[in-house]
This record gives sequence, structure tokens and C-alpha cells, in this order.
Amino acid sequence: MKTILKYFLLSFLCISSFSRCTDGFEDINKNKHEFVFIEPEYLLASTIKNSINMMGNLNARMYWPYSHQITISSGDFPGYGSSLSELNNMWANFYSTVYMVKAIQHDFEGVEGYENRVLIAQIWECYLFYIFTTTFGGIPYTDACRDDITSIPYDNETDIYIDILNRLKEACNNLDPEGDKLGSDLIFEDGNIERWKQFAYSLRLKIALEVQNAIPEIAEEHGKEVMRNEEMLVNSNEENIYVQWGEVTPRNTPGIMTVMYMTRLPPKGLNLT
Amino acid sequence: MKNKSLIILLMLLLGSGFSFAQKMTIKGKVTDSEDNSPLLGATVIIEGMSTGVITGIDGDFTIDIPEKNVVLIFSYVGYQEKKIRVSNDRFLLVPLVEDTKLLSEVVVTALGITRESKSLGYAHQTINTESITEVRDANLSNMLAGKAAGLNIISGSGPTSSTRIEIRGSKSLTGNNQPVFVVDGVLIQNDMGQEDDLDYGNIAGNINPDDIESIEVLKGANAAALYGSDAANGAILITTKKGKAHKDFGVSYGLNMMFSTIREYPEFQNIYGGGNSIRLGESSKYRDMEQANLVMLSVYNARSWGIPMLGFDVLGRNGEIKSYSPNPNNVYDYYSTSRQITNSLSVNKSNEYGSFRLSYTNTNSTDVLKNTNERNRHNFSLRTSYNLHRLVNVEANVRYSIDEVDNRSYSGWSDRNPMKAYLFFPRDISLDELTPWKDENGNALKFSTASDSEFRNPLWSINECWNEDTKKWLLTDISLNIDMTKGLKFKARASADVQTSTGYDFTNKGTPWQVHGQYKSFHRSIDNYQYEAFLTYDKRISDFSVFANLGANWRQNTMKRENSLSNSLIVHDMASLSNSAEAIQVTQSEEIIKRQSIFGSVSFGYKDWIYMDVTGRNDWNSTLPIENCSYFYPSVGGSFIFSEAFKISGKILSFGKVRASWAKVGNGTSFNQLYNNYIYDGLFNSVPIFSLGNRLKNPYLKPETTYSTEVGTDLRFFKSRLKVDATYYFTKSIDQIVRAKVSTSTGFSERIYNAGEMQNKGVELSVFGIPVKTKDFEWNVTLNWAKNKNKVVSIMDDVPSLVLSTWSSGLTIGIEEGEPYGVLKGTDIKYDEEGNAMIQENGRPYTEPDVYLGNVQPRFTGSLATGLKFKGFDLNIMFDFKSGGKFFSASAYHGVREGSSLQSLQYRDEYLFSSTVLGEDSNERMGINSVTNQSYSDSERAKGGIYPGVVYLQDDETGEFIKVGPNTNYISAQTYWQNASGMYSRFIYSASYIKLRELSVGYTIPRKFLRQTPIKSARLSLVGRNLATLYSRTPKGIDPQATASSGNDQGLEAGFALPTAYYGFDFKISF
Repeated sequence: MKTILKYFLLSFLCISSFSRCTDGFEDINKNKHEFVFIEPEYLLASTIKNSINMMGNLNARMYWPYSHQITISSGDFPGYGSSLSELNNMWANFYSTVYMVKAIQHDFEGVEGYENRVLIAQIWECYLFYIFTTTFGGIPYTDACRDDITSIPYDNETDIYIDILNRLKEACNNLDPEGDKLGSDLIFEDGNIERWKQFAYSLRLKIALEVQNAIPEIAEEHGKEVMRNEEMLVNSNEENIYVQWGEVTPRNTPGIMTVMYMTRLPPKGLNLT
Repeated sequence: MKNKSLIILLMLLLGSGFSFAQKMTIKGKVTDSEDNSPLLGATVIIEGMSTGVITGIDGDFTIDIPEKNVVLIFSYVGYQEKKIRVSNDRFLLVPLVEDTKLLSEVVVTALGITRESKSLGYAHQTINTESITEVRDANLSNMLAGKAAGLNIISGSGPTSSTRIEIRGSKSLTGNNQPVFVVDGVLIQNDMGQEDDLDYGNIAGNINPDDIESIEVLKGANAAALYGSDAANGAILITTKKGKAHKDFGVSYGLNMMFSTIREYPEFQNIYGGGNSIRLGESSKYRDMEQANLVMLSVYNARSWGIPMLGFDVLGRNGEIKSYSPNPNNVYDYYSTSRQITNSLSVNKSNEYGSFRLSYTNTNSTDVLKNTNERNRHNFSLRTSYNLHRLVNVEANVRYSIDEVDNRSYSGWSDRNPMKAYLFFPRDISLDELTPWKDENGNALKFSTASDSEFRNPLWSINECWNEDTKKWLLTDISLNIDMTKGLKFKARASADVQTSTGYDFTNKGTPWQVHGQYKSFHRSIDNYQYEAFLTYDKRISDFSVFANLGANWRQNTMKRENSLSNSLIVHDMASLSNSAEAIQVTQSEEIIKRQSIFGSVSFGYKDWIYMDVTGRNDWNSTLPIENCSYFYPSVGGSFIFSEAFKISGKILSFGKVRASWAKVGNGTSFNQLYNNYIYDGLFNSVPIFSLGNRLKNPYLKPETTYSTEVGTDLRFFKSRLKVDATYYFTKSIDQIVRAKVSTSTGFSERIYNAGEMQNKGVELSVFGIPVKTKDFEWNVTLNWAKNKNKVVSIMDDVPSLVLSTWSSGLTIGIEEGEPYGVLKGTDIKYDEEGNAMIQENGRPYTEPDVYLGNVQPRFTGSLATGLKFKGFDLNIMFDFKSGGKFFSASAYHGVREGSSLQSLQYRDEYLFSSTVLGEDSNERMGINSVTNQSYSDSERAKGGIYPGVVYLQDDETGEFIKVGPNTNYISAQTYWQNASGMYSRFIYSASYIKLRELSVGYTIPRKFLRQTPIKSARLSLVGRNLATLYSRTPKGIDPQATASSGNDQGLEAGFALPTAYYGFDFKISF
């Protein structure tokens, strides 16, 4: 009996040494085909691609039928107006796009050498919310993309506009032409910060004009401030801000081609302003 | 880590000595005490020594003994052991007495440990493996149908697809609900192979039935506690054959030939042909001006809503003149008889030094649909065991299979599935009209240019879409067994389960729904390595017995995939990545899961009538956060053999046992569920882009836990002529790792949580009886019956329901709090408070979304098998049955929508008579005379389809309903049936069935005829599988067991393979 006990004890010791190594578990559970860290330009590029796809869809499937008072029921791209599931998809795409643009701000906020890029993400987020709020009215904004709650509260339409205007103002004031810029910029050549600033100023004016009846004082305040820096606005057709679909890899073909076909977009791309 | 254990093993090995002995020869013969027939393969060993021999064909043996006065032990399976002290006799005649009590039945339990059946505190069931090599199905899992109480087999569409197994209901809300397969102690990775419209099968289906010695089903967490997480849903333990004793060596050969034909076709109507609204062509464009008296059949109106097919000439869809007449065989014509030929050969031998068995089996099969599921499978197996020393034994096993399949059939709701095409077929179409299916450029001939909504030509998908794949599977293990001291044994095992599959899937250029074609190729591999070592200790001290074990297990699973895809091809007919007109998309993935465990168990017994078991296991699982990755789970069980304890076993009751056990099992999750990282998503304007996926992961996950309690009894009467085994169980699963839908405003569409509770309780019953037994005749009956009641107690706060899958827009399969798992919901007719259907003014009903339509859980399942034996002849029949459970049939739904099924004939004649013959208008069909505005005189006659109910008007402003009166509005049959999407409940069917699952008539040549020949046994049988559905409540041609998924979302049929019968013969001979 004693020997048996000895064997058991011995094997227990050897077993416990055998099983104690949970080292490396965290690495094992990591997908090595995924990225933990990505530079903001690539995340922003992803966001821009999603944004223009979404807006192309909005144009083609919603605004176009609305403005033409028509529903297309046959042809190569039949659509019966905007179905609920289509709107749901649009909604989901919108917030997953916002998630990433927020992630850039969250991850690089206060990191030295990323200041401009964080502000560019901020401008883009404002732009996205501007499009969506003008489409749907009040939408989830303040708590949007929170991952600790399951249902997200809505914000008042005017509150959203006020916040967007303020955040655009912050970007206008803080973008530093001498500072960092996007390594690969899909919208402006060489990641020109002045041009981003121009985008922010123009967008601010556009929004201020649109909301002047709803929130006259605030609209006026922003409008006046922008006009004081008139040289910062888009002043000619040449300065119009476009984003181009341009060349695409096969994986993106069908969706974009559909949208381009339907909207009969000019080869130049989607005019943002 | 492994090295450490290896060194210990070596040290142990070296510590033991070798011994040799002097010689003296004893000869003899071992026979059956009753009929004096020789017992072949009985073991003869010298007590206290390793030396032993095995009796030959005449029961004879020759053994060298070191000295006189040694004791020889004679043993043979199913017989009582006998000890004889050698005196002066040089020849021994040893009659062995059959062990009728069979009380010391041993069964294989978790970890491959054999235990006495009576000592177990939980339910287990041994599967009768006799028929699995005869009444063959190419997929082993399918052959388990009806073989054990509560073992629920869900076969996929077609013979090469995956088979889902459920035991004791679903325990996990969104995770795995299937038992684990264990082959000779090695857990295999048995992932379902469904991918879009192709099903690559699961690996357990490739286990060679010819190699199987026994199958044991461990039904719950209690039995499988030692296997841990993987076995929370039970385990299926397969033990393969070992070498047996032979004079020289044993050879077996088997030939099995099965044919199959479709035994049930859907019932199509053959009265109304293609068209729309009882018209052939709706406008002048359907008139051919050159042949003015001919109508052109339109393609858009190809569905069978035309006029009665009276056999006049029309201009067919291909521009040729044809007769507008029924083609009742236009679906049957594609099918023919398939065959499946299995050849198996094995060689085996065993002696005092060891044993080996080498086998090869080839399975070659086709399917009822031409060119599909052409399979060629090779199974190789080598099992060896060698006694290095009287206390040390090594085993090495290699099982290798190559499974080549050409043209797996496309299943589910896919354009490539011909089953879908048939439903959209106009009933007047013939094979001639569909041939050729392509133009001179190789593109599909479209019968119209405008619309994509035409029906698909099944000849296109049969001939222009193809796939090929090869699956190779190596399952190998080596193990070392050491008898250390008395009763103490050590076992160490290393095993590898390596699965690779490569293949491609090709959709030709010019396919109507994929104009540029598609080529996909893949390479997948699964490497599942396991190392295991454990000590067992078995000791009896007078009335007390103790059995203990302690061990550790290390397991790593790696799954790799590489897919290449091109969505645009250069030329037709070339299935190659080189034929890509665009940049090829390559995706890679790799998933690794590592598990380490230590486990132990102790079992105490007293006087062979009371036993008590305690087990414990601790797992470390890499899929969980590091702080939660370790979890412990225990089990306690006991059995009490009251017939022994109270000495009440007698003529009536021969054995009686009660058992009870409680177990807890923990479980991890799947790979990479903790953190969202960026996933590469291609290039956009030369800039790489990324996504985060649509699922928010959770870094705080805890292990899932299942608690399981069971009690049972095992009773035997009349010298074991009647056996009853009954079990009641209750399981509760909590902290489930659930993927729940969240508000998309979070940026994700679903999230992973620890939440939810699900309960299962049920009863399993199996009864075996031999009502008649004489010298030459025996009749036996086996009944298996099980009932499981599942309840989803909770899912999550604020989340009362979850959708598992959605079909079309209005139909979902989901989970709902308070309901059993698998709730079918869909759009259906709206009813008022009094229960009347609410009908609109236009005669169609108002509808309501998400109406409860039924639950997929069955009430009970079971099987009844009976066998008759007379001399060498035997007859075995097995029926299996299921009661309750609902499913939605997309085939039935489209059958009526497209006007092709028999059901769609209802109301057609009435409407044709009213509208076309009498020319009544819609007012008149509503009961109002259009001229006088008075009531229509002939109001009693049915004038089409009518929804019984009450007409309501809805106020545009308030949405309020205003009652008008009973509905008297007859509408066209087409309007009625095309309103199917507003009455999904019509297409919900009961999944109840009774099937004649297996039938075999065999003749085994009695041994006495073979005595003078080298043949040891020979048998010929006629066999049949899935021969008939004796009872079902589904429309013809829809299998009540049909499913579109091998996942948790059961309850949907969509283009499922037609019920097919398999029949043939089986021949076996061994030397």
C-alpha cells in the first residue's frame, strides 16, 4: 500500500507540473491574421470607404426615389423603395463606421504626433452624424457605440447639431498645418491639413445655414465666426471636396458598382460639399 | 512536458526484470460444456506468469510449462473462468461453463477504462454493432439511428453530408450541442462540414464500420465527467477491432452492395401548365406574328398558373413548336438508381507476444442524381499490440482514410440545387425544352432577356457547376501500459488526429445568377494532438473493493484554412485559379485551442452490491480569459444492486440495480472570442482597409456550467431473458456563452455574453426481451424510447428572445424565454378576439408578423427492433419513430406559390369555371350582381378560393378595424396561394414519423458444415435501409426528418434530398 501511495504522490507531482503551464494561453487565443494596432490613416481609409458606400446607397435607394417620387420595381437593379431591412442595414453600417472613427479618437487622443489625425477623425465623425441626423432627425449620438450597454438612448436633433458645430469649431481652431498628417489620404492630396481645415470650416457653415431656423443664435454665432475666416472656405469649384471610389479590389466590386451604376455618378466621385 | 512523462516511463521500464522458464509440454482441448463444441480463441495462461496461449480452431492448445503443479487458467468471453492444477496428465479436456448470469459484464467507460457494468452510477448503452457492416450507410453516424434510447440522429441532405447528433436535448443556447466521438480513447475533432450550399460531411462519418468492435454511448455529463468539457453533451465511444487468436492467421473478406432509388417523389399537379392568371400570354407580345395561331410561352410566367394543358401546339420557350401538355416525369427523369459497393479485407493474428490487425476497406458510391456525390473512400487501419515484457505492453494504432468526392450535391435554398429548380418548373416543360442548356458561346440559354426571375434550368447546375474534394484523415496513437505492482497500472498515450482537406468549387462562366462564374479553392487542416497519462489502481480487500485513477491530459487543436476565390473567369469550363480575370482573393485563418487537465476518480465497492464513485477534473482552457481559464468540476455517483444485497434474485428477478449520480461540467468557448482586433479587408484606392467584424467580443467571459443529475434502474428478469433499463435525468446549464443581438447603435450587431439558463429533463427507457428461445429458434425484441423536455429558462436581461436563423423575410427559428429550444415564428393570418380570421376587402387576410407557429422539439423518440433466428437463418427488422416537433417546409411553400404542387390545384377549377367559362366578375364572385347591385343569384357555388373569416375595414387615420361582415369574396386560386407569405402556418408540418429503418435477412453457414474447410464462417444477407416511411404527416416527397442545417437552427426544410431507399446484399467470409 505504501508503494502505491508513493506512486500516486509521485505522479500527482509530475501531473501538476505537467498541467500548470497556462503560459502562452493568451497568445494562443490570438488570431495571428488580425491586427491589434493599425495606424489611423488606414482606419480612416476604411471609414471613408464605408461612408461613401453608405452614402451612395442612401442616394440611390432613398434620396433618388424620394426626390423622383418613384419606386423602381424591375430592371437590373430592382428596388421597392427603402425596405425596413435595408434601412436597418444602413443603420448598422452607419454605427459600425462611427465605431471605427471613434476608435481612432479614443486610441490616439493625447498621443504626441497624432493630434491632427485625431482631429481629422473628429471632423469625419461630425460629417457622418450630420448626414444621418439630417436624414433621420434625432438619433443615438452621445452614447452611440458604447459597448457596455445593450440599448443606446437617442439624442435630440438640435443637441446633436450644437455638439457637431462645437466639435467642428474645435477642429478648425486646433488643426495645425505644421503638425502631423495622414500618410495616405483618400480625400486630399498629400494629406494637406489646410484642406482638412477648409473642409471643417465649410461643413460648419453648411450646417449653420441649414439649422438657422431651428437654433438661430447658435447658427448665427458659428456662421459669423466662419465668415470672419472666409478665406478658409471652399471658394471655387476647383476647391470642391470629392472622394473617389477609384480603383477597387475585387472584394469591393459588386457593392460599389451597383451604387455607381444606380446613381450614375460622375467619374470624379461623390461630392461631399 | 511530454518529455518529462516519457523519462518517467523509461525509468519504470528499466526497473523491471525479465525472466525465462524451463519447458514441459501440455496439450489439450477447450470446449463448451453444453454441446462440446470447440472454443476457438480461449486463453490459457499459467497463473502468476505472463506465458499463455490461445486455442486453435478445434479448441486445441499446446503450452509449455516450467514445472508440474502449476495452475492453468482457462478463460473465454462469456464463459466462467476455470483453473486446473496440472498433475500428471499431459492432455487436458477442459469444458467451460457459459456464464449465464453475465453479472460481470464489462463496459468501456470514459478514458477507455473498462469497468464492471454493475458498478456504474450512470446510464450507458451499448450499441448493437452487428448491423452496421451489413445494412450499410456510407456515413457511420447515420447508422446509429434508432440504436440507443435518446440518441437523436439528424442526417443532412444527400449521402455525403454531415450528420448531427443530439443526446438529451440542447444544453447550449448558441454553442455546441453535440456529443464527442472517441475512437479507442482518442477524442476526435468532429466539426460539421456545412458551408453555404455544400456540405463536406463530418469526419466521424468516415470511421470504417468494418473496424468497429463496439460502440458505447455515454449519454450525459455524469458518464462523461472524466472527459470534461468536450463531453458535456455526452460521448460516443468507439472501440475498434484487435487481432484475435488463430492457428495461423485470420482473414476476413466482406462484400457489400447497396442500390438506392428514390421511394417518394413530391406530388406535382399535372393539369395546369405554365402561364399567369389562367392565361398563356398576357399581351400581344406573346403572339408570334408569323405563326399567328400559336401562342408563345412566356418565361416570366413560367410558373404553373396557366390554363389546363389540353395538348394543343404552342411556341415553346426555346422557340420550337411543342405541345402544351403535361410532363409528369419532368422531375423524375433526372434520377436513376445509384450503387454503393464496399469491399473490405482484414488480416489479424494474436498470440502470447501480442496481436495485430490490418484492414483495408474501399467504399465506392454514386447518388440517385446523375454525376453527384461520387465517392471513393479508402480506409486503412493497423492495430498492433506487443508485450515487451510480462508487465509491459505497447500499442500502436494507425487509421488512415482517403475520402474523395466528386460533385457533392448542392443543398438548401441555393440556385445550384436542382431541388429548388423543380419547384419553379412549369408543369408543361420537358427535358427536350431544357436541352441544350447553353448557347454556342457556352453561356446559359436564357429564355428571356429581361428578367432574372425566371426559373433555373436544373441541367445547368447539374452540368455546369461542379466540385471536387479530397479529405485525408490520419488518426494514430501509441500507448504504453505497465502493470506496476499488484493492481496498479500505468498508461500513457500520445495521439494525433490530423485531418486535411483540399478541393475546389466551380460555377461556370455564363451562369445566369453568376454571369462571370466563380472558382473557389480551399485547403483546410485540423491538427488535434493529445497526450495523456494516468494511473489506475484496482484492489479488493475481502468484501471491499477500490478502483481509483489519476491522470493528466494535454490537448491542442489547430485549425487552418486557406481559401482562394475568383469571382470572374476568363474562359468557360476551366476550373483553375489561373482562369481568373481578376485579382485572386486569398484568405487565411488559423485557430488554436489548447486544453490541459488533471483528473482523478475513486470508486469504492462493498460486497459487489454497493458502489460509490467520486470524480474530479480541472481544466485550463485557452479560449477563456486567463483569470477565468481554470475551472474545476466534480461528480458523485453510486449504484446499489438490491437483488444481491437482499438476496432476492430468483426465478423471476435475476438482477436488480438502482443508480444515481450528480455531475457538474464546465466548458470554454470557441477561439478568439475575447477581443476585437482589426481584420484585413482588402485594398481601397491602394490603401489597405480594415474592419472590426459585427460581433462585439467579451474579455470577461467565464466558463459555461452544466449541472446534471440522474437516477436510474437496471432490472433483469427470467435469467436475463427480459432486461429493463430506465433513467430519469435533469440538467441545468447556466452562464451560457451566448451570442445575442444588440442594438446596432453600439456599432455591432451582436455581442458575446455569459448569460442564460436552459433546462432539460427526460426519461430514457430501453427494454430487451427474448420471448421465445428454443434450441434452434430465438425471437428477440428491443425497444428504445426517450422523452426530453427542454426549457429555456432565461436568455439575458432585456433579451427575451434570440433569432438563430431567418428564412426569407417573414420566418425565423429562434429561442424564447419559457419555451423549449427552437421556436418557429412567422407572418400569419391575423385573428380577431373571437378567433375569426380578419379579411381585407379584397379577399386577402390581414397579416401579423412573428406569430408563434410551433416548436421543433419532439415529444418522444425511439425505435423498435426485433430479430428472429432459426438455425442458420436470421431476420432483423428495426423501426424508428419520432413524435412531435414541427418544421417549416420551404419546398411545400414554393410548391403552392409557383403552382406546381398538387395542393395548388385546390380552388383552380372553380375559379376557371367562374372567370373563364361563365365570365363572372369580381363583384359576382363576392355575391353581388354587378348589374342590379342586388345579391347574386348563384351565390352558393364556390367560385375560387376563399378565406373563411370576417371582413374588416381599417381606418387609414387611426388604424382601427371596423367589422363589416362575413367574407364572401372568392378570389383566384393563384391569388390565394401566392398569398402564402402571409400564412406561413400552412407550411408548418409535424416531424412525426415511423420509418422502416433497417431490414436484413441473413444466412450464416453452420460451423459443422465448414469443419472440413479452411473457412471459419460465412454469411450472406439481403439488406435494406430507409425502406419506407410508414407514418408521416408531411406532403409526399418531403422527408419528415428533413433539415436545412447541421447547426442549432433545426426546423427548416428547403430543397432537401428526396426520401431514398437503400437495398442490396452483404457477403462475409472469414478464414
